[in-house]
Amino acid sequence: MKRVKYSLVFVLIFGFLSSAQEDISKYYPIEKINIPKEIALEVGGLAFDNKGRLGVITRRGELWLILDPTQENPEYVRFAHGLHEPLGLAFKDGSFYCNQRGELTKLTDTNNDDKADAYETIVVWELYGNYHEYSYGPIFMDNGDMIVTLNLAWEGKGVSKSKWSGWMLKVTPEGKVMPYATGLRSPSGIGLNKEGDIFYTENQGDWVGSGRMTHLELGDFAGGPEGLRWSQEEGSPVNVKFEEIDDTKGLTLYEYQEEIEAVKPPSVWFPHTLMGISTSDIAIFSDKMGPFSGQMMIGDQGHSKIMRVFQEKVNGVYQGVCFPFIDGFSSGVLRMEYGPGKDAIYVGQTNRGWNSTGKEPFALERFSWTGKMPFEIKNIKVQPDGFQLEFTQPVNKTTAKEISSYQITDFTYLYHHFYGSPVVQKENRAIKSIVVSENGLNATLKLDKFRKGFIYEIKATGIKNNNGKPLLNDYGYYTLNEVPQGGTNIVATSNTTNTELETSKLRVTALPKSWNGEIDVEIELGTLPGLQFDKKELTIIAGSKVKLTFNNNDDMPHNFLFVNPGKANEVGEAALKLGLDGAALSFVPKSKEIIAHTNMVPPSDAETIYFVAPTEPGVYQYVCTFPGHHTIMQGILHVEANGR
Amino acid sequence: MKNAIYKVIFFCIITFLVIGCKKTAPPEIVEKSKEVISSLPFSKIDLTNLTAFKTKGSNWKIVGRSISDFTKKHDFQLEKGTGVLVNTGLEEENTHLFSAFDHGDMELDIEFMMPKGSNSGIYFQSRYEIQLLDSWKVEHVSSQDCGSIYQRWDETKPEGEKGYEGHPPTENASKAPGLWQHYHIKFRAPRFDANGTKIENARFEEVVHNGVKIHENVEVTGPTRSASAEFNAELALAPLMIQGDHGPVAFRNIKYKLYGSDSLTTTNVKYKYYEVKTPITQIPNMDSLQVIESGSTEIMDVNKLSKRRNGVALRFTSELNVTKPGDYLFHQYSDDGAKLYIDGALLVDNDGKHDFESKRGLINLSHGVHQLQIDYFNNNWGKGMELQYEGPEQELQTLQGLSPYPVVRKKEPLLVNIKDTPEMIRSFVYYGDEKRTHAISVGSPKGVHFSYDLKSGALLKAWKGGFADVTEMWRGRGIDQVLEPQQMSLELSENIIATELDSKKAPYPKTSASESIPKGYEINDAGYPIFKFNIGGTVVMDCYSPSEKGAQLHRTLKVKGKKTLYSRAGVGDYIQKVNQDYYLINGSYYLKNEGERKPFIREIEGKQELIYTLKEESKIEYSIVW
Repeated sequence: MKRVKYSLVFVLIFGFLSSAQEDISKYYPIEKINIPKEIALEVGGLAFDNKGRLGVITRRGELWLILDPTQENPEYVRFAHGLHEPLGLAFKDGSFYCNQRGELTKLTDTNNDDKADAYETIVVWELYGNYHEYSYGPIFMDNGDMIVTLNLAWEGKGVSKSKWSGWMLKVTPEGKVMPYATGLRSPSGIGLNKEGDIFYTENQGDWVGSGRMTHLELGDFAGGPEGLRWSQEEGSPVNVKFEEIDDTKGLTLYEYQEEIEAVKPPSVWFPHTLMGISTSDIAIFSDKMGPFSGQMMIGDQGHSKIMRVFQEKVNGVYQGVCFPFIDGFSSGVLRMEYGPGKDAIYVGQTNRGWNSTGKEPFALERFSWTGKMPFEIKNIKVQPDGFQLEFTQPVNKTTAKEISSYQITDFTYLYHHFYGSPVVQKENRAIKSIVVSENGLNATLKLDKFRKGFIYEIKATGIKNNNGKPLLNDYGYYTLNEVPQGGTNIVATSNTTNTELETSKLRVTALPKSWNGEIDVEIELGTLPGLQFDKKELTIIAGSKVKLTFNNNDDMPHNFLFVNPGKANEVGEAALKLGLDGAALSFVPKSKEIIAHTNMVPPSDAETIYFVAPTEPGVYQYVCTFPGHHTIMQGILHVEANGR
Repeated sequence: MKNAIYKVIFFCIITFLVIGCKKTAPPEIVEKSKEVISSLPFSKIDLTNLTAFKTKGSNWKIVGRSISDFTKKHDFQLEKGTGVLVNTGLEEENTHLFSAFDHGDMELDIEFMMPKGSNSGIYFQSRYEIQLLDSWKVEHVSSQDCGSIYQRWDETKPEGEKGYEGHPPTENASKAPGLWQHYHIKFRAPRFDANGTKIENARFEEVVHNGVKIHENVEVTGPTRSASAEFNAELALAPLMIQGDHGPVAFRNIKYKLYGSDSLTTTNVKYKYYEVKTPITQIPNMDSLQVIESGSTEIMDVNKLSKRRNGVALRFTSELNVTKPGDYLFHQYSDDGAKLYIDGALLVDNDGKHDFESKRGLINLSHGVHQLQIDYFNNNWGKGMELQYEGPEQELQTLQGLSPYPVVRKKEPLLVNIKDTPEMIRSFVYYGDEKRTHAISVGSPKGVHFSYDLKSGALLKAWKGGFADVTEMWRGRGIDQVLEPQQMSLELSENIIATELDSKKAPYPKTSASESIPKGYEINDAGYPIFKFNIGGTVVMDCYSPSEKGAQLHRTLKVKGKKTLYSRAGVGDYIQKVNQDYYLINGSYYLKNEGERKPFIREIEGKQELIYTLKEESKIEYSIVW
C-alpha cells in the first residue's frame, strides 16, 4: 500500500517538475492496463498478433496474450511458458519469435487452442552462465531476416566470454547467423528508422560515458572493445582487433575515430541523469501521435520515462537532438509497441532488481495523443554555424529574438574503461545572432564556435508562445558529429580548463577546532536498497555538536542533506535544476534551507560530517538529492529543546 | 547497537558479492595452485574384516557386494569380497553390532542399503537411535520411519502411551529398497558435572538423509526404545551400536570424526593499526608505516579496530596455546587480504584485493605455546577477517569462538509448485559444480520433476516433492540465475541423447557431436515437452514424464531416419540385472525396461554401461526408479 502511495506522490511531483507549468498528460495521458494479481508481468517484449491480441513476454518466461488490451480489465491467456528471461518479442506469419538468453525461438500454436505447442530452436547462443548475458530481439527486417543483440557479461566490468557476446547479429529464418557489428555493451533497444537504417541504444557503463544511440552499418565498431575478441572469427565483418584499443590517450569516442576508422560515435547522446540513466527501446512517432511524425521515442528504464529524438543526416552521418517527452510511468520503461491502429503506444515496464523512479516492480501502460497541440521545440537542425529551432506553435517573436531567452553550453565525455564519464570540456557558447521566421515557427541561432563531436545543451527558457505560455520542455541535447558545408566557426577540439566550482561551507569533514574536541552526539546513518535511509527518524538536542557518519551501503551513490522543516522537496527540486554542474556539485544546490550536507558518497563508502544543531527546535528533514531520489529518500530529524 | 545493525546490512552486501562472484566466475578462473585439503580426513572403518567391531553373533559379515531384488521381501544376494558390512538377517542370529571405540561428540558419514521391508537402526552411544527402515513411498512419515529419532519408551505407562518423544524426519528422503542411501549425522553427547549429574541432554545437531536435512538441533532427553539394555544409564562415552534383530541391512563407506579435545586458545593478543592511501592491492609493508594505534584486544575484530572504512591495515600478534598436538587445518578468511604466520613462518597467503574468501594451510602443531601473527588490509568496500580451524578431535570452529561476521540474512524464498498441469522453467542449473546454461526443468502434478540439458539431450537430475526454488533467478537481479530443486535430487551421469558408434566397443562420447543439433520441443497432450534433435539427418525425439506417483520417471525415445544410433541409459562402477526388467545402476537407481527393445550391458574403460541400439524407426521405453 505504502509503495502505491509513494509512487503516486512521486508521479505528481515529478510530472509537475518536468513541465513546470503544465502536465504532459493534457496531451499524452497515460492509462494503466490492469494485471491480474497472480501474474508477474515483468515485461521483456511486446508484440501484437494478427488477431489484435497483445503478446507480452516476461522475465519469468511466460508469454501472455491480452485478448483486448483496449479494455481496462482485459482477459489474459497464457500462450507459452518456460522461456529463459526473453527480452524481445515479434510476431510474423502466425508465429511469435523471441530471444531467450540461450536461443532464438519460434513459438507456434498448431492446433488453435491459444497455446504454443511448438517451441522451435532457430539458433542456439553460447553462454557461460553469467546473469548479465542478456539476449535482445528479434526485430524483423523487410526481407524476413531478424536482428538480435547479445549483451556483455558482467564481472565487475563488461566481458565477452561467449561467442558473439557484445554483437549485433542478423539471423535468417533458417538460423543462419550473420555477424553485423560489435562494440555493444548493454544493447537493450534495437530499431529501424523510416529509411530502414538500423539503430541501437546503449547504457552508460565501462567504456560508455553516458547513454546513447548509435547508427550501425555492417562492420561497425560502436566503442565497447570486449566484443572485438570475436572480430577475427569466421563471418565477422569487423576488422578492428581487441589489442588495438587503448584508453590511455584521454580521447573522446569521436576523437578516437581519427585513430581507428571503424569506430562509430553515436548519433545521439542522452546525458546521464539529465535525460535518463538506462536507455531502452526505440519506437517511431506515427502520424497519429502528434506533431513529431517520423521522430523517435526512446525509453529509459531507470527514470521511468520516454525521451524524444529528432535525427538528421549531415554529410552522410546521422546526428540529432534529444528532448524530454513523457515521464511518470509506474515502473522502468523497457518496451514500446504500437496498437494495430498506430494511434496508441503500449509501454511494457519492469525494474527487476534495478531501481526505477516508478516504484512498481512491473506495469503495462498505454498512451495516445489527445489531439491538443503541445508547445514544444519540434526539432533542432544544425546550420553551417549554428542551430535552427522549429517550434510546434508560433512563438512570441519578442521573446524569440531575445538572446537571454537561450543558453547554450557544449561539453563531451571521455572514452575509457572506467564506468561512465564526467562531463568534460564544458564551455558556454555565445549567440552571435538570432533570426526568427516570418511565421514565427523557426528561430535560427548563430554561435561563436562549433566543436565537432560535442554535445550541445540548448535551453530556450525564455521562449513564450502568443498566449504567453512557456515551452512544455524548454531544452534538448544536440550531438554534433558533422557540420554542413559553409561553416566558418568550427574549431578543432580544444582542451577547456574547467572553472573551479565554489566549495560548500556547509560540509565540514574535520572536527572543528572551536569544538575543543567536544562532541555531544555521534550518529551513524546508513542506506537500504530501494532509495531508503536505514533510519527514518533521528533526534538531536538544539545547539548540540553533532558528528554524523553517513554509510552508503547501497549499490548506487547517495548524499545526505540536512534541511529546514518542510524544505526537502524544494531542495531536491533545486538539485535537479543544477543541470550539467549537478554531478560536480554532488547535487547540492545553493540554498539557504540547507543546514549541513555530505558530498555524493559512492556505493559502500562513507563520509563523516560535523555540524551544530539549530537552536530552534522543530521537525527538520534530511534527504538525498541525487536525481530521482529526493521524493522518496527522506527522513525526519527532530531537533528538541534542551530540557534543562 | 547502531554499529551492529550497520554491520548486518553491510555483511549482507558482502555476502551478496561473494556469492555473486563465486558462482558467476568462469571455470578457468578456478584456482590452479596446489590445493590444500578442504577438511581434515575422516577416520574410515576398515571393512576388510570385523576387527573394528564387537559382536557375539555370526549374522554380521563382510562381503564384496550386496544386491537385493526390491520386489521381494528381505531379499539379499551377497557376493564374496570386502568393503561391505552386512547383517544377513537370519533369525537365529540377531545380535547387535558395537564399535570397538567409545564416542562422545561425533560426526558420522555412512551409506546403508535396506532390502524390502527391513528394519534396523544406528544407536549413538548405544542409546539414541536414528531409525533405519524401508520407508519408500511413505507419504506421512512418523517417528517409526526411516530417518526418525526413535521414540523413548516407558513400560509403566498404559497401552498406547508407552512411546513418547519420537521425532519424525522433516520429510521422507528414502530411496527404494536395495539402493544405497546416505546419512550424515552430527551428534553431541550429554554433558555431566563433576558429580556425574547430567547438565545437558544429548542432541542431534544435524541429520542429513540422502542430502536432505531432516533434523537440526533436536534434543533427546534419554535413551530411545530398544537401546542396549546394559547401558541404560547415560554416559559421556560409549560405543556406537547397529541394531541387528529386525532384518537384513548393509553398510559401506563408514567414516567418522570424534570430537572432544580442548580447543586452541589465545593469550596476550595485541594489535597495531595503520592507515594507507588507496588504492592498495596487497598488504602494505607495515614496517615502513606509522602506527596510528596499538594495544591489547580480546577479539581480532578488524571492523571494531579500524578507524575508517577504506585504506586500513592491521597486524595482530598473539600466543597460541595448543593442548592437543597434531594436524591443524587453518582457514584464513578475509576481505580484502590477509596472511597468517605461525612461529614466524607464513602458513596461509590470502593476500590481494578480494571479497570475503578463504585460503587454507595445514600444519602439525606440538603441545605448548606457539606464536600467531595475522597481517590484514582493506582497500575499500566491506571489511572482515576470520580465522577458522579444525584440529585433532576438534571440529571446525572460529578461533576465539566469535565470528566478526554475523549470520547471513536469507532472502525470502520464491518457490514454484505445481497445481494441475506440468510447468517448464528454463534457467541455469548446477550439475555437480558446473553451471549448465541451456537447461529446462519440468515439474509435474504427480510430484516427480526433472532437469534436462537442451544442448546434449541428457537428463541431469530428477527429484520428488516440491518443484523449484527460483529465489536466485527471480528475486532482485537474479545474479545466480539458477533454479534449484526444492528437494535433494538424484543426479544422473551425463548420457548424451544418442550417438553414432563405429562399433559396439567404441567409447560413448561425453559431449554431443557437432552434427547433433537441438531443434527445440513440442508439447504433448499431457503438457510434457518432446525434445527434438537432428543427428546428421536423423530425427530423435525424447520425452520424460512421470508414470507413477512419487516413484518413476518414464522415458520414450523415438528415432525417425536411416541411421543406426546408440543411446546410453546408464553408466557406473557396476550395473546389475536384478530381475527380468530391472537393472541396478551403480546401486543408486533402477532402470526398468518397459519397451520391446532391450538394452545390453557392456564393460568399457573400467565402467559398466547400459546401452540401447536405436535402429531405423525404432522406439525405446523405460522408467527410472529410485
